[in-house]
Parts: sequence; C-alpha cells; structure tokens
Amino acid sequence: MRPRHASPSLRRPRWSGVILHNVKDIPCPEPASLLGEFELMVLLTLLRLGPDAYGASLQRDIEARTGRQLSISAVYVTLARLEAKGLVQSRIGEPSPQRGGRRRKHVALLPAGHRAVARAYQRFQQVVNGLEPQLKAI
Amino acid sequence: MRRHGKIAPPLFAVWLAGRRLSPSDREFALGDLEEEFAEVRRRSGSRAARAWYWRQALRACVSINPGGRANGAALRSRTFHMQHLMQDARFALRLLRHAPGFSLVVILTLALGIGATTAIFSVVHAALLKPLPFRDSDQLVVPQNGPTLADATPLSFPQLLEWRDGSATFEPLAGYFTWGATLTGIGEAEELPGLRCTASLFTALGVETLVGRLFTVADESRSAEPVVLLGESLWRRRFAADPAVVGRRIVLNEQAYTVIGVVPRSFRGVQPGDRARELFAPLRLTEQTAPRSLRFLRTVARLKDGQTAAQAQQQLLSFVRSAAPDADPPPQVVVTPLREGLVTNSRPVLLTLMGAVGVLLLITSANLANLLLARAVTRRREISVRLALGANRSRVVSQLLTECVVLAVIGGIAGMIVAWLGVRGLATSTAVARAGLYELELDWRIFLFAAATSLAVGMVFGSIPALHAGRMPLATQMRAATRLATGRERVRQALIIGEVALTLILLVGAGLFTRSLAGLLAVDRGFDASSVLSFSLSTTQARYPNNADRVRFFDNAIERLSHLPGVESVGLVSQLPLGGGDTNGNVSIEGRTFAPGQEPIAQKRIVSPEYFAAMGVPIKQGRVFTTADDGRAPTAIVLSEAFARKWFPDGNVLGGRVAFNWDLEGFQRVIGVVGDVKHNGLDDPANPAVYVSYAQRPDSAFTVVIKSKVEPDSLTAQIRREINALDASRPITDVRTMEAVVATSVGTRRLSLQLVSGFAILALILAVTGVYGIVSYSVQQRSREFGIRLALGAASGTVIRLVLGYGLRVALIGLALGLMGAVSLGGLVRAQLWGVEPSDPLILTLVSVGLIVVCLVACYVPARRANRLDPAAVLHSE
Repeated sequence: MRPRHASPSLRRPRWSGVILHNVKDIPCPEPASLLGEFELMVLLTLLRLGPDAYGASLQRDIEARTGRQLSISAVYVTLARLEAKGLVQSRIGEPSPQRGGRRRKHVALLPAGHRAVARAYQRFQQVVNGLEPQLKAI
Repeated sequence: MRRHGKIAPPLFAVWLAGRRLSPSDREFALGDLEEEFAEVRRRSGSRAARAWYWRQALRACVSINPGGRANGAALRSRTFHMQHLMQDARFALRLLRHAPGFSLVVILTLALGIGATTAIFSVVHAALLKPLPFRDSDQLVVPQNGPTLADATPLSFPQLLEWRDGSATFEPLAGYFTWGATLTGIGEAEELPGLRCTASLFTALGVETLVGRLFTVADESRSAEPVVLLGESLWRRRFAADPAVVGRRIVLNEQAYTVIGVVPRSFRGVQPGDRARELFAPLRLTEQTAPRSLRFLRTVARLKDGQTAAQAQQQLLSFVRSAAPDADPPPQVVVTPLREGLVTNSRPVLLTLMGAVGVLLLITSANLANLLLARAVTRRREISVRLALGANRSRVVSQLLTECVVLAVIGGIAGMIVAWLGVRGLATSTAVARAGLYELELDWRIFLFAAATSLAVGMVFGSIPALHAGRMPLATQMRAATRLATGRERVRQALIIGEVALTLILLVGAGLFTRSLAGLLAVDRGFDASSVLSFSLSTTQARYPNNADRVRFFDNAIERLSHLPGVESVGLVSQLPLGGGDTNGNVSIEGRTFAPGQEPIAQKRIVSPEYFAAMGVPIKQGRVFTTADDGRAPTAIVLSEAFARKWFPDGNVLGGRVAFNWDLEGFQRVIGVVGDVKHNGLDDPANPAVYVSYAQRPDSAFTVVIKSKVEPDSLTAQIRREINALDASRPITDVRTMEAVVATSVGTRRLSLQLVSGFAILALILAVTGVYGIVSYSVQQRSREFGIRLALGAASGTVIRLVLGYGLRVALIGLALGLMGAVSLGGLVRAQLWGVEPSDPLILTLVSVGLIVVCLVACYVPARRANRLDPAAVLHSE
C-alpha cells in the first residue's frame, strides 16, 4: 500500500514531472505526526512477536504485559490505522475450523514501521534523559 | 448451544461484537475471538468461556477509541458519549415534570401492563414450568391403580408391599397418607398436620435431615418403637431449635413417640397445599388394620435412570398381572409424572389466564404507542425547529429515546411494585394453593420480558417524531392547520380498533365465566348448605381402644350437641361433601353377577341417623337409619338415587341386599334410598353412593355437621365447651360453615373469574381512554373545519353527529373484529365453562351494547367541546 501523506504540502507540484522526472526515486520525508501511545504499544508488540502476529496474539500479549483490558475492536482499528500509515502490512492466512471457518489476518512490521518504532524510542530516550531518578521516585 | 457438533460462542454476543468492527476486519476479529473462546473453554469450562466471550463482545461494542484524538485524523467511530446521556436524561426528566398528566398516564399504563403480566406469568410458571422442589423432580412419578389418571384410585397396603418389594420397577417406591396428631404435654395442646409414610419417601424425594436421622424400614414395623420426625418450623417454634430434641419423647395422640430427627422447612410434604406437614411418622400398618379392600395410600416413586413413565407403567402392569393371573377383571395401573398428577385440573385455567394477560399486555402496548404518537404530534413543531436550527438528527433521536427509556425505567419500577403486590396477594389465596403451587415468587425473567416489550414499544413509537420530522419543510409544519401525517392517524386508529377488539374479547370471557360460576352455584347440590356448621372430631386409639368406646363417644357427643339452644339437628359423616376427601370401592349385590369391569363401584359413607336431616338430603324411598339400627340389629344400608337407578332399574330396591365391603362382612339389607349429593365438585355428575350407620360400622373420626337455627358461627364456642366437657383431650378442628366449604370448592373458578374480570375492566378503561384520546385529537385537527361549518350556520347537532360518528365508526370496527375473535377463540375455553356456550348470544349482545354505549359516552365530551367552538377564534388563530 502506498503511503498516504498527511500534509498536502508534501505533494509534488505538477510541473515537476517534466524537470524532476526522477523525483519518485527521491525518498519522501517521513510523516511528521507522532505515534499515539496505543499505536506505539502495538508496534512494539509486533516487533516482539514477529511476522506471525495477529489480532488475538497482540491483544493477549499487551493485556499480559500492561494488565490493561483491551477490546478486540480497538486492536483492529489501530492495526488498520497503522496499515494506512504504511507502517505495517497484513497477510491473510487459511481458514480453520477452530475459528468457525474464518481466516486469520497476520500483521508484520514494514521497514517504515521499524524505523518509526526506532525513532519513537530515540525520541522517548531524548526526552526522558536525566529524568530517570525522578521517574523512579514517583 | 452446539453448532456443527462443537460448542459455539453465544450468537447474540457474536453479532454484538461484530457490529463495531469494520466489515473488512469483522471476519478476522470474530475468528480471533472464537479461537480464544475455544481456548478458554478448554481451560475453564463452558460457562466461564461464555462469560468471557460476553465480556469481549461488550468491550468491543462500547470501547472508547484507544488512540484518542492524538493521531491527527479524527476517526469518526461511534462511541458512547456518557455526557450526552446524562444531559439527555436530565432534559427528559424536566420534560416529564412539565407534562405530568402525560407522564403519569404512561407510567400507570406501563405499571399495569408489566405488573399484571409478571404476576400472572409467575403463577403460571410456578405451576407449570418450574421444577418441583424435589431433587430431579422430573424423575418422580405417581403409580396408582388405573386405568387412567382421571379414574385412578389409591393403593391398599398389601398392594404397596407387593409393588415395592416384589416388582423392581421403581427405585424406590414410597407410600404415604395424611395423618393428624395432637401434641400434648408441652405447653398448649396443638393439632398438627402430618404424614405417615414409608422410609423410602425421603430417599425418593431427596430429603435430608437437619439433625438426627431418617427412618429405616425397621421403624415401619408395628412392633418397633414409635418414632417421629419433626418439621423445621415446628422444631423452631416449640422446641427452640434445640439439637438435643433428638431422642426426646413427645406425646402425640396420647401415645409416646421418640423424636429421631428434624427435616428442613423446604419439605412441606408431597402434595402442595395450604398447610405444611409438620410431623412424619412411619406407616406401621399391618394386613389386619389395612386390608386389601381399603385403598387409601398415596404413592410417589422415582424412575430408574433412563426409564420413562410409560416404560415403568408397562413393567408394573406386567408384574401386577403375572402376580394375579386369575384376577377378573385384570388389574390396571397408571404411572403419571408427579407434576401432571398435581396440576392437571388447573392447566387449562392457567393457560386461559396466560392468554388473558397476554391480551392485556397487547392492549397496554397499544395504548402506550398511542400516547406516544399523540405526543409526537405536539412535539413535531419543536423538533422541526431544532432540526432547522442545525441540531444533529441522531442527537435528537437519541434524546427522544432517552426520554422513552427514562419513562420506561420509572414505569418498570412501578410495574415491579404492582407485580410484587399481585404475587403476594395471589400467594395467599387458597385457590392458588390448590392449583398446585409449592411456593410463589416473582419471576425476574417474566418481569424482564414484559419490561423489554414495553421498552421496545416505547422506543419505537417515541422516536417516530424525529424520524419523520425532517421530511417536511419547516414552514409547512409550522402551520397548524395542515392535516399532516394522515398515515400516523391511521396507525392510531388501527391501534384503537385493536384495543377495542381485544377489550371485547376479555369482556366476553369475563361474562362467560361469570355465567358459568353463577350457573354452577345454582345447580342442585343435593343438600342444603344454609345455616350448617361443620367440624372434624376424632378419637385416639389410646383412649378409645375398641369400637364400643368409639360409638359411645360419638353417641354422647351427638346427645350433648343436640341439646344446645339454636341447634336443630346434629349429624356425622365420614367424608364431607365438597370437603375434598373420598372413599369408594366395589359394592356387591346379592343374587347378581356382573361382567368384568361392570361391577358396581360406589362412594362409601358412614353416617349418623340424623345426617340426612341435618344436611337436608331428601328421602326418596323407604327410611333412613334410626337409633334402633345399632350394634345388635342387622346392619342396614341406605343407597343414593343414582345407585338405585343404575343397578335397580326396575325400582325394586328395598329389601335387596348389597355388600358394603369396607370392614363389613356379608350382605346388608337396603332400607331406603336418598337423594344424590354432589361430592367431588359442583360440576360432578351425581355418583352412586352407599351409606351405613356409624353405630353398626364405627370409625375413629368423623366430620360433624350441625344444622343451626341461628347464625352457625355463633355456636362454635358452645360446641367447643361441650366437647371439652365430654373429653378435654379431643379438640375440634376445621370449623367451617357449609357455605364456606361450597365457596372453597369453586375457589379456583372464582379466582380466575376475578382475574379475568379485573383484566377486562382494566382493558375497558384503557380502550375507552384511547377512544377518547383519538376523538379529541380528531376534533383538534378538524377544529378549523368545524369552525367554518358553525360559522356557515350548521345546526348544532351536526358537529356532534360528525364527531360521534367518527368515534362510533372506530368502535364498531373494533367491535366487529372483537366479536369474530371472541367466537373463534371461544372453543379454547369451552372446557372450563359450565352451562353456557362460548358463543352465548345473550352475553355477546350485552357486552357489545355495553361497549358501544361506553365508547359513545367517551366521545361525548370531545363532541361537546367541538360544538362549543367559537368560529371566530378558531379561524383567527391561523
């Protein structure tokens, strides 16, 4: 899925097709919006679980780690959003009788997703730098 | 529930969960949930898995967007805005306060509909559906002598032994009979209802003791020490719940019994009834005291695993036939499930009540819909303005729905109160007890059903204004003159017509039941119940060990009571007519043989000479007993007219000889014939009966009937004094006037009549209110038209006629539909009527005329209002 840009200023000007005919090879700058807390949690869990992760396994893992009860719809809505942002990619599996004949949708991180997670972590470290003792004391 | 051979998650939860997901993801998410469901089921069982699934579904449905708004693209997921709900609720309450009349009517309608439905359904549920208060009660059956349940007779003691010990059909079989005992020696003497039973009764019903032990087979032997089990309430009341009561000796009927244990309060005995059994003692019968000709033992048995009642019946039948291969006619047995034996008589009544209350629920729903539709019209303008000013349509709809929910909640609470009161009132009615109910309590499921129905109706019709309001341009709606929503008015008309039809059906039902009851009470009972008092009097084995003592006791009792001022005559009878008990059996006629299955069977009664006079039973032929017919004279028999007609068709009865066959050997001489007496019910066809004098065939207990010259109840104190003077240890019990006995015997009919009449009146009020409402509305809508007519000089009668005509049309259509319904449904209640056909023309005519008149009266007020319209004011208001 092609990444859709959030801000219109990043759209190429029409005349650029003649002069900058290889503009499409120039990598587009990454979207500037921050990841939400839950989106970040999902991405991190995808990183941990690997390419075979799916809705229920994500839900289980996050619930186990954070102790926070999730709804399956929240997970899927977030995955859809992440996919729209080009950070993850889904793959449909085979139907199985345990699922009432339904198929399973596996989700894996795309390189853009890896980068987004790494950047988010960097940002977090930069912001948190020096605050560790205070945070631990809370 | 199973699907394709494996357990599937609850379907509704699946749907709920899927609602909030986008269609593309629905398959995957539901698949995930199902997989997890299977896992949870494997770990923790089906119930935990279902609960888990419901939690997941609800969470998915109500979830707040977890990412919040921090992601730039504001996702328009439909979330529950709690603040909006609270706002709507407050607004709704304010609106209700400003329209108190409307709110009150709606709440009352809801309360009546929900309350009545819940109360009656609770009764029906307790009687027909709820499991009996015994362990695995659908495995319990009642084996009796057959061939069918309708003519089943109890067992004799030898039969019980044979069936229990010889045939291995049941696991186990228990026999019992009711027994009463006077407890003395501990404070005040008290007459207690009890049960004599085999030890197997407790194992069959799954009863365990609170303290002590149950009896064993060894206790049943007559030579064993007498033991007794106490009921829990007796234990708490008289023995202060002392566990040391076990082993204590108490005096019952002047005999010493050892208490061996206490059974819980939940065990009231086998038969439901007004009095819970407090004492349980072993049978202690012998072949001598309870010979084969005496059939009085009731039974209850538990089927073996996997055995059906029909199979058990077959097995028992072959056992009984093989044990007595030469018996002629061959014996018959019938095995029926316990529940059927208890409530057969009442099933049709209960179902009729259910039908009536269902109709009432329909009517209240229709009324509710009507009220809301009417309100919708008045709010149309307000809503159009709000929409025109830019209100979000879904917000307006949700606000209207909240209003309905608030009304429904208040109405539901009111309905709960009505239902609780109704159930309490019904539970104390003895007719309900006889209908076979062990315990009556509010059924939450029924309440929820009724509440859900009302809520659904409310929400559908309450939200109509918003759904339709946006359709028309605002300007058009602002003009009051426009007759908008003719479609909606048609709906209201249809609802009213339906209400009128249903009300007619209920009124016809009430009329039919009234006529049935009146007819039944007017039927010739064979005795005169006016000014007659009855009570039970018994002797104990200890004080009156032989027949001569008993005869002497009752002789003295009659003597003393006859001399009381105000007493006209005193009689004794072994079983009071309409009193609930019966003894019957074979009667042989000398010199006649009968084909198998054709032998005379008659009700057998032991009476005193004055009994017939006291009860006003006419003597048809010959004479009745006198004091000369005592122990020394040859035994005399009196027959009832039905007996004489059936087996002495040529009329030569007197001098014939019949055998009483109940502790009387040989043939006895027939000395007279008396009129028939209704015994098992007023609708009982007169059964043949055989009477013998107590002096010649004594018994230990009798019901005394006293024909009094004064008010019967006023004699009670004097009677007690006399009997006390005769023998202080003998209490008199069950003091009732015969009128009360007769009234109790029709208690169930009376109750259902009262209930159906109550519903019919409620329905009438609702329907009339509905007619009034719709005619008022029509007048209001057509006020311009009437104003013009009046301005142009129409005669004053014209407007009234127009309005009445409109109301009459609605009522007549409803009437026609109702009549059709009443006639076609009449066949369903035919079995419960007595002496009147379901399509009785008199009742149909009366009810129809009455309904029309009432509707016309309801239309009259709006008609007068229309007539008084000031044309100028109406026309100017445009």
